[in-house]
Order: sequence, then C-alpha cells, then structure tokens
Amino acid sequence: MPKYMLILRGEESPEPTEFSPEEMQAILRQYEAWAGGLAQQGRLLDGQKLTDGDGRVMVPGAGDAVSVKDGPFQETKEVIGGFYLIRADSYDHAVKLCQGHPNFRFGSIEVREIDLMGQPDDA
Amino acid sequence: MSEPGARIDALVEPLFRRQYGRLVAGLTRIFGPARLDLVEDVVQESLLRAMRTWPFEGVPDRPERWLATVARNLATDALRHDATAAQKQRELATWATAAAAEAPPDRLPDEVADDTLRLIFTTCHPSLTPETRVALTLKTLCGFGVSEVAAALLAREATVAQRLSRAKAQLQRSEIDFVVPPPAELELRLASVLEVLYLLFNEGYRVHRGQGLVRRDLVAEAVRLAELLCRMPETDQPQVHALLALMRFLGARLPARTDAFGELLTLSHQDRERWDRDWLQRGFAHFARSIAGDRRTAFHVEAAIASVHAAAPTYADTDWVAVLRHYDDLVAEQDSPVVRLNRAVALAKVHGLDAGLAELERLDDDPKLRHYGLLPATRAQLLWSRGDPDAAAAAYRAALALECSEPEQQFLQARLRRCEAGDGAPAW
Repeated sequence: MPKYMLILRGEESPEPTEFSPEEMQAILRQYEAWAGGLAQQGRLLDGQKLTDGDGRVMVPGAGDAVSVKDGPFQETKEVIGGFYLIRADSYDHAVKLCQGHPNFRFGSIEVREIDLMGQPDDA
Repeated sequence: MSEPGARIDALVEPLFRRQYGRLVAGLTRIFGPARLDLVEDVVQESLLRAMRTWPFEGVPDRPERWLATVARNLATDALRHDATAAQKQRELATWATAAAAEAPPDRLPDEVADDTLRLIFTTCHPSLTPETRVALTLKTLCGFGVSEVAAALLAREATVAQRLSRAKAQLQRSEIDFVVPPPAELELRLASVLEVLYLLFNEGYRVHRGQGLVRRDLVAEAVRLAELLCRMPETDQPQVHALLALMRFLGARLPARTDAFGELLTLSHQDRERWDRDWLQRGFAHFARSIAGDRRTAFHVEAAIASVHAAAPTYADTDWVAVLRHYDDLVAEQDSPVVRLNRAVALAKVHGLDAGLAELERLDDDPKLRHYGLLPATRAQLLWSRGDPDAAAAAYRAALALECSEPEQQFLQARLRRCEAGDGAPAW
C-alpha cells in the first residue's frame, strides 16, 4: 500500500495566552482522535514535530562549496510544524483521510506520495 | 513516548486544568506570589508546548512529569537575570521531581497538596475582595481561562481581566507570604477561604441570570478544593466539614433538578430516586464530622437544613418543624432578607399559609428584595394554595417583570399559564 507524507504547516507559533488550558486540551483531543483513528487502522507509521523557527537550508555554492541560507524560504508566514507518515489506498484516499484534520484551524496540510520508484513496498 | 494516537482516552479528565493549578502552586512557592505573572506565563507556555508536541509524538505515559520538566526548564530560562538564580534552580529541580511523583488517582502527591493549600490561602487572601478572590482562584488554582472565568461568573471578559491584574498587583504590593497561615491567623484566613468556596459553589449551583441551569464545573471545583481542605491536617476543621456536607447534600440533588428556581418551592417535584446516593452518603459523613467542634457557623446551620431534606425519603416525609427550627438558627447566625424569605416557606408549612404570607408581607419593603423574583413567586405559590388564583397570577406577573434567567422565566410562565387556566395549585 502506498505511503504518504502529510506535511503540516501553520502559523509560526500561537500567542501563549491565546488558549485556555481547557481549549488546549480540546485541540489536543482532536489531534489525538484523528491520529488514533488512523493508528487503529494500522495506517499511521510515524509522526514528529519539528522545532520552531525557520531553520536553514544548504544550497550549492561556488565550485564544491555549499552555502547555508537562513530562512524564511517562502513568502508565506506559514512554517512546517511537523509531519505524519501514513499508509493510504491512493492519493485521493490520503487526501480524504486528512479531511477534518484539526490542523486546518492553524494552516494547511500538504500531501505527498512517497515515491517507491517501482520497488515493492516493504510491508 | 507512546505510539502516536494510542492514548485517545488518556485526556478525558481535565488534565490541563488540573496541571495548571498544580504547576502554578509549585512554582509560586519558588518564585513567590509577587511573581504570579511570571509563574502563569511559564505554566501556560508549558501547556502550549504539550498541545503542539503531543499530537505528533503521542501523549507521554506520565504527562505530569513531562509538563513539570518543561515548566522547570522554562522557569530556569526565566531566571537568567535573577540574583538568586542558583538557589532557585536547586529548588526547581527538587520541585520538578516531587511534582512528578506518582500518586493514586484522585490524590495529590504530598508536596503538591502542600503547595496547593498555600495557593488557596494566597488567592483567597482577605486583602482581596470576595469577587476578586473567586476570579483569582478560578484562574490560578482551577486553570480557567479569562473568558471561562467571565462566563462562569457572568461577568464581562474585560472586567475579569482587569480584576485579575489588579489582584496580582495587590499581591505584589502586600508581599504576602506563601504559607499556610500560623494558628493565630488561621481562623480568620480560613473563613476567607470558605467564603470563596461557598461563592464558587453557589455560583455554579444557583441560577441568577443568563442561560444554563447549572455550571457544574464550578460545583466540582468547589467540592474538590473543600475536600483538599478536609484532608489537610491544618484545615481539617468542623466548619470545613460543614461546608463540604452542605455542598454534597445540595449537589446530590443536581441530577434530579429540573429547575433551580426557589428550591424550597420545587423540591416537591424532584424524583428523589435520582438523587446521587454517593453524594448524600458523603454529605452525611462530613455532617457528622462537622458537629465535632463547639462552635456553630452558618455553614453548620445550612448543612443541617439540607440534611433534613436529604434524610426525607419522600417530600411528604419532610420534617418541616426541624427545617423551621434550623431557619430560626440561621436567622440568629446570619440574618438576611433572603434567609427570612426561605424561612417564610417553612413557616407556612408548619404554621399555615397565612403565617407564611404575613411573613412575606414584612419582607415587602426590604430594598434588598425589590428585584428578587423569588419573593413574588413564593407569594404566588402560597396565594394559589390558599385558593386565590387571581392574586397568585398577579404575583407571578410581578415576578416575571423582574430580571430572571431563561429557565426561571420558563418556570414562571408555565406556572402563570396553569394559574390562569384555573388549574389547582401545584404541590410545594
């Protein structure tokens, strides 16, 4: 079954006072409900949060040199907050699985298929 | 870390609210009440980090430890310019370990319980007005957001925010020690705490304005904090048990309550099968312990009144003579027009409708009851029962003309319609 990477983007970081403890827990519960559903179906392979900030990217410099470029890399103020690796039947199915995801409250989700280059899936 | 999404049910309890209060209590011991702002920022940021990390990595097996560690690190960062940084860092390390200690569910680790007790005495300090104490307690101890405090107290958000910031400034100015008061002060300080818990409970239990019958969160928080006081040796005192007994007796009725308007008038309609037995039992247990002292407080008397109702298997079995006697005690203890209004109902039960109506007449001119819908509503009930539906209808209309909550309005309107239709008076 094909694998997909869900790249979660959102505002850089919310104001600390934006949410009450109860609201934070409610938001967390929504994420958990979404991830829990996928985990039960065996579709959730991994999920990681990335550190805040723009990070840096290495770009080819002159000759063999590599130069490091500081972010931000895009016009948008959104940053990648984290990612999930999931299994889905098809790209459309992966998109469908993202529907109702709580991250849409904060930003977008990019769905990318892991390119197996014709190799058999290891699972 | 557990599997992502593996612990969906782990957060059903109000974990974040509870942790908020616990973390604030611990950090306030280290930083002092004067720096409550800093403490709250640290705790808020810790919870925010959990909200942003746990969706990906799953809820940790020991969320309280995760949060205490993050809070400790953030607090350490905040110490950079502090002259006592080294000392405080050691305290932070000790605290973070203690705060993450395993405790049976429903019980706080000892150190957290100690800090929470100190925080109760801080947020309920008598130098703050009762309203401010209630707001500050909800915000810091109970982990309510400003908008939630406002909703709970039916106040405007800006008003609450202002009240909270003034409270913090006051704490800063008065340099209040973060301690359980010494024996010489304990009595007075404890009274100030109990007043807050009583307000908190009543705010949740009674309906004054607006929508929603019961704000159960407030009832639950008041009971939770009162239980902590009963468990701690310094505050395990008869009047605390009396207050907790009262809360348990009244709270037991919540599942059966269909309206909150003038409970003495509507107790007759409650299905007592739906009263919470567990709450009643706990109520009687605390009531028994409240009699230990030689002093009688208003809480004792109110609990005694509630206990008479709790002990009656049916409404018809109510010992109204005992209720009236306790109301006489309450008038002696804490005379107020509202107490006298309630007493009038018991009076009517024991000595007849005319005696009750005569007592209501005496209350007519009291300015405190001028906008109190329960006065005309009670009169309506008594008049109707005496066989005067026209006068009763007029009294219901008078009640409806006053400010009241939506459930109250519905109750009164339904009564008025039945009254106008010439139905017999409902039981009361």
